[in-house]
Amino acid sequence: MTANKIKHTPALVTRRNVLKGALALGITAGVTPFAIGKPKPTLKVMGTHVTLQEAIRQQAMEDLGINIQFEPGGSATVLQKASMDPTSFDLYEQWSNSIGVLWRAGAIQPIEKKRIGYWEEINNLSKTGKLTANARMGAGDAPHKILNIQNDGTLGANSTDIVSFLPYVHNVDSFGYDRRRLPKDMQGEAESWGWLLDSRYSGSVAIVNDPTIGLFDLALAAQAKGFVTFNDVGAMTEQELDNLFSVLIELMQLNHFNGFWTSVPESVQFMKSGRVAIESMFSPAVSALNGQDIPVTFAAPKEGYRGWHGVMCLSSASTGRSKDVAYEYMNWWLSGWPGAFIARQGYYISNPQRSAKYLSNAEWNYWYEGKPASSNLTGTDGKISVLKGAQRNGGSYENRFSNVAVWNTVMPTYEYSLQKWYEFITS
Amino acid sequence: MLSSIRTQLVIVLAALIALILFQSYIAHENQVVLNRGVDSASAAITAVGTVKELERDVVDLQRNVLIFKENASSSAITRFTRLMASIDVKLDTLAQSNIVYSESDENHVLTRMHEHLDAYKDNFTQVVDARAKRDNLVSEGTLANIISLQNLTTRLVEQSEISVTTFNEIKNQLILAENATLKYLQKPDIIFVNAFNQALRPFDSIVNRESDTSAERITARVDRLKADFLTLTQITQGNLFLVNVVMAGSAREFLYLSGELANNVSAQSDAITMQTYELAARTQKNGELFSLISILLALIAAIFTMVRILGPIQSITRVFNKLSQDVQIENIPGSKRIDEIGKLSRAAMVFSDKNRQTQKLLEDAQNLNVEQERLNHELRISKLKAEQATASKSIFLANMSHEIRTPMNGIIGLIELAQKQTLSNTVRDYLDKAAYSGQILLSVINDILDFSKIEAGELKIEEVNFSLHSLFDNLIAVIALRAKEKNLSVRFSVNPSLYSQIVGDPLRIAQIIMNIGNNAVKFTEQGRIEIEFDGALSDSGDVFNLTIRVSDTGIGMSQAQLGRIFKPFTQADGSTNRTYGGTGLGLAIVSQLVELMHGELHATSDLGKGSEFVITLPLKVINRQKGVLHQTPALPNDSMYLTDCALLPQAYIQHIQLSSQSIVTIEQGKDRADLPAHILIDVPDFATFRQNLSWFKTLVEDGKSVGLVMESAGSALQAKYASLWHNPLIMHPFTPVQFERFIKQVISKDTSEESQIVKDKESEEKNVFFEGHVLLVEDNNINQLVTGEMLNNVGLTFDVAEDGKQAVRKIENSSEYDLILMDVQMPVMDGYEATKALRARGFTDIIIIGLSANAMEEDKQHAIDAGMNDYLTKPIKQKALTVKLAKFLTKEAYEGNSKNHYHI
Repeated sequence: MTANKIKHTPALVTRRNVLKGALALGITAGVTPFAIGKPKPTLKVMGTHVTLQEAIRQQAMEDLGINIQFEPGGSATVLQKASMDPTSFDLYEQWSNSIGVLWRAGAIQPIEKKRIGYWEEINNLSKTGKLTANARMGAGDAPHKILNIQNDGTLGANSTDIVSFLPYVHNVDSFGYDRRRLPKDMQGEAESWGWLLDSRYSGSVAIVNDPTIGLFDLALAAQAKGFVTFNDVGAMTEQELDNLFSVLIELMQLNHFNGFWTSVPESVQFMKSGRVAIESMFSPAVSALNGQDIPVTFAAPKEGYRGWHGVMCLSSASTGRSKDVAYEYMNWWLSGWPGAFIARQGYYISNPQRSAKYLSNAEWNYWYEGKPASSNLTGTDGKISVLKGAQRNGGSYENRFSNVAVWNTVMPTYEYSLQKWYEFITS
Repeated sequence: MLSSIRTQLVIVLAALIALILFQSYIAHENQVVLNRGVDSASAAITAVGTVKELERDVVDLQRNVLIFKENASSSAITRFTRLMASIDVKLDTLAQSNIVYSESDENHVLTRMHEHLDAYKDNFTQVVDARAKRDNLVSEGTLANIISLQNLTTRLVEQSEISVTTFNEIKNQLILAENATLKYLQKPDIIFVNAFNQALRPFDSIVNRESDTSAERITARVDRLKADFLTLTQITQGNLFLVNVVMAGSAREFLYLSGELANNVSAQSDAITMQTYELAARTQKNGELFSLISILLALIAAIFTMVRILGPIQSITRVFNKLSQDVQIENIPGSKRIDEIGKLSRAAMVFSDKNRQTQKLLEDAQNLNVEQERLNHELRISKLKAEQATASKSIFLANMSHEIRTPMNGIIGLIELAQKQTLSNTVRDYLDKAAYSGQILLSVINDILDFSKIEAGELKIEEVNFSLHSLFDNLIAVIALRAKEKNLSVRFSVNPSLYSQIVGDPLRIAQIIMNIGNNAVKFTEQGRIEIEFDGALSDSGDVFNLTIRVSDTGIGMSQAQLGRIFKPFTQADGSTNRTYGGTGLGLAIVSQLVELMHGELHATSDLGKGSEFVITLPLKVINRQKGVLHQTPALPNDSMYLTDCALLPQAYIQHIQLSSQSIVTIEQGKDRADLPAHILIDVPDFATFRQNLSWFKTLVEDGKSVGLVMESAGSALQAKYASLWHNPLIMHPFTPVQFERFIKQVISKDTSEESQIVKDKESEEKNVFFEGHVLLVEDNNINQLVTGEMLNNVGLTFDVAEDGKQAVRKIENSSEYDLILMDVQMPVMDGYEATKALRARGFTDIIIIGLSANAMEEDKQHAIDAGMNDYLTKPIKQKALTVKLAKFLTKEAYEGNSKNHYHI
């Protein structure tokens, strides 16, 4: 689908076309040395809709000559399932806040860096936490803090030969708002998390229904509004949570919040239907809405972003051939095309330079450099998602990741926050 | 097409029907819309109710989830399941309700509700499972592990496997762990997890002091405890997340959606109600509009029918009424229209025109009638004139007859008298020719007279009994005489069985045959003329068909000529007249006579070869007669007929019973020594006769009876035969009677009558004389002279009276006259009057014979009626006069042949 639009890697395009042709002719055997004389191995991938996209699966199957099963689901559900039953997956794709659970549960096994061909290309964001030297260190579980498997079996910042996850997709999130419905007196203001709790948006606000994510949106918002203060927003105390939720519950009673979405399509639906004017958002939802001519801006809040880092984990039950295939798939993810693919949805890949070859200059400049689009850009669905002249909010990749206020985090008060969250959304 | 009233009516009616149908349709649609509106409203109410129930159910669900979360109550699970089922049913109900579910709903509210509900259910199942696992872990796992670890260490210390210190330390740590576990179960907090982990952490150093076996056993138990606790925390955490976040979120969203749904339903219901009202109002308006249009259209149709159809029909009806009463119509309404009314009007117009035409025709007819009557009148006058003309013609003809016959009488009579004088040959020759010319003239006059009579329809066909023999005699006498002059052979034969006594008009039958026979002679230069008589009774036996066939070898005629010859004044062609003379009336008269006798006449002819006429006349006969030859005896048995080519007709040969063996050629006959006593010999020509005469005579001398049969011959040759042969002889043509006499002569060898055939009949009456004194009443001096001379010839004396008056006076003066010859047409007093006067004066006995130039039959009757005894037609011929006189006067000397009674 999108393969034909990639201009910079003729060799690979040709190879894919050849493979496509071969498949079209029904020649499926002999695509890879592994396939000879054996049934195609099947890779089971569990995760969320963010990365478990059909186009990626098809491309991977075509490129790798393997069968791939995607099992996308809600983040809590898949996490529960994965942590309880490592045999239900080969690879698990989610974000960094799930790593602690999985690791403690022994559901995942260490990934050997030496088997990741592009390891050295992976940038410092996930290695040191700082993409650039001057970058602000985000609060909470920054990826580098949970990446390395320490000798005592805990996860830490010190580099070892083994890692708990493969760093790949990541992004900074904020909130999106419908420019048409931005109250007039707010139009001059700098975008702020505080908008989420602004009374002028009362009744038109939605938050992602996940305490490890939405809680930080709300915390940043409440902090920006000056309702509460946090010692460490990445590790809120019970008292701080009490304070925060008392404000939130009060707002909830005032019907300030319209809804809590649990999936990206739902967030799109919320905004598209006009049910909300501002909400927690993930990048693909913004792209989708823009693609549908709904003028949604993905805010670049002055308080900084909420960062998240995707993790690709290897099942502790995965051995032998399925483990080999899993490594193949991990390597494929860093081979450029997938990075380019998700770039068109606003995500970043940990080794962007390899994906740059699969992006046009306009795309690269728009998505990574934060420059105005020099031409109309198409999304992963082939439709125009970015009009010529549009510019990504928040600047370049470096700019954005130099301004992460907090990472998605499982805090020590996680269980308590769940309790408070329940009180909040049912109030 | 469209101009037809029928079509117009049909269109109007169709429009009306269409309107009514459309109105019905609209009414129906209206009803449907209203029904739908009512249905929608009720459905909306139901749906709103259902949605409210849904909300209640979901709240109830959450309540039960909380109850379960608190005490793992199984009744909560049951309640949850039932609520779920109830919600499912309600969602399905809503999904089936049009008012809630619509494909175009972009929010997919119901779908999303379903999704949330399913997720909620799944999550609850997980929660239930996890709760069971947790409870199990608590009872069988974590806490049981702590207890079993305590038991193990107790056993080990009792068995002195471990030190008491170790035991105590372990016990303390286990108490700490148990404490942490219980606290965690109460409040899942990372603090208690850490406490638990801290409690178990010293175990490694503690058990290191003991034996490996004990250490291993304890460590294994501790590891299991750790694992179970980890699982416990995971399950608890997961459950917490599921219930507090996921399920709470789902329920919240579900409630939100159901609220949306309720709003949507209400809004849609309101919209539908509004729409229904609007539609109903609009439909009502439309219905009213259509009703109005229908009424208007119906009115228009009625007016249209009145104005365009009924009105014109009434006026046309009036027109027709008037027309039927013959009232003239000047102007017919609607005749310019092109529809049925127009046609009707035009029909009325036609009707009116016809009326006029009829009247005109009537007038014309009346005029024509007048004209016709005038014409009829003229025609009557014309007819009268024509009749007068015809009468005039008849009178003229009668006069002509008289006027021509009277002088002809004189001429012919004087020529006859002159011929009796001694004259020079030249003068005699002139006189002969004059006599002949007179005869021709007379016959021409007779022809014209006959024709006129036939044309005038005045010719009467007599029906008298007569003998064919006399007819044959006259026929042969006349035709043979003519034929002889041209040296033509004439054969005359009669069927031997032919009856001789016939009833008919002998005069006219003879006239027919004479005419045809004379024609045959006239148009034949050489060769032969054959006349055959035949006849037979018809099948019914009452009619005798006499057939006469006359054929010749003359010039013949073409078919075209044949077609013309029976028309009056026509001959075969113009040149015929110049060559052969004649009036051209002969055959026309024949044809008409045959027609008058109901007979048939057929003529066939070959140009240059001859003609044949066949006449068939239906006549009456006296039955059971004998044939014409019945008196002719058969020849003796051994008789012979010597002939090369039989001159005797075959029928005659058979009649005289000559067998075929007895017929030999003359040469053969000559050679025969034993010739019989009776021999018939054919002499076809004079050469044969001269050659064999000596032999004939020898035969006669030998006592044989020899009869010669001769071919026709001229008078001179006849005389020669007669002078050289005095034995029986017969010459063509001969009558049956002559043949009979001939055969009798041969049989009897009688020769006494040998010369009678060639004897001049004129001489028979030479010496007839009467006694008596005659009064000749005649105004014409010539005729006085001629008739007087004829009277002198027969020895009578006479006086002459110039007219009837003189005659009457003379008779009164002297009544010694034995007979009066009274001309009927005279000045002063005509013959009829004179006769009447005489008879009136008592002279009834005296014989009065009328003399008239009128040859008409009625003249004779007229004469008889006037009192005359008999009647003579002028010109008077000696012979005819003698015959008449013979009837009334005594003969002084009479030598006439008895067979000559049959005169024409």
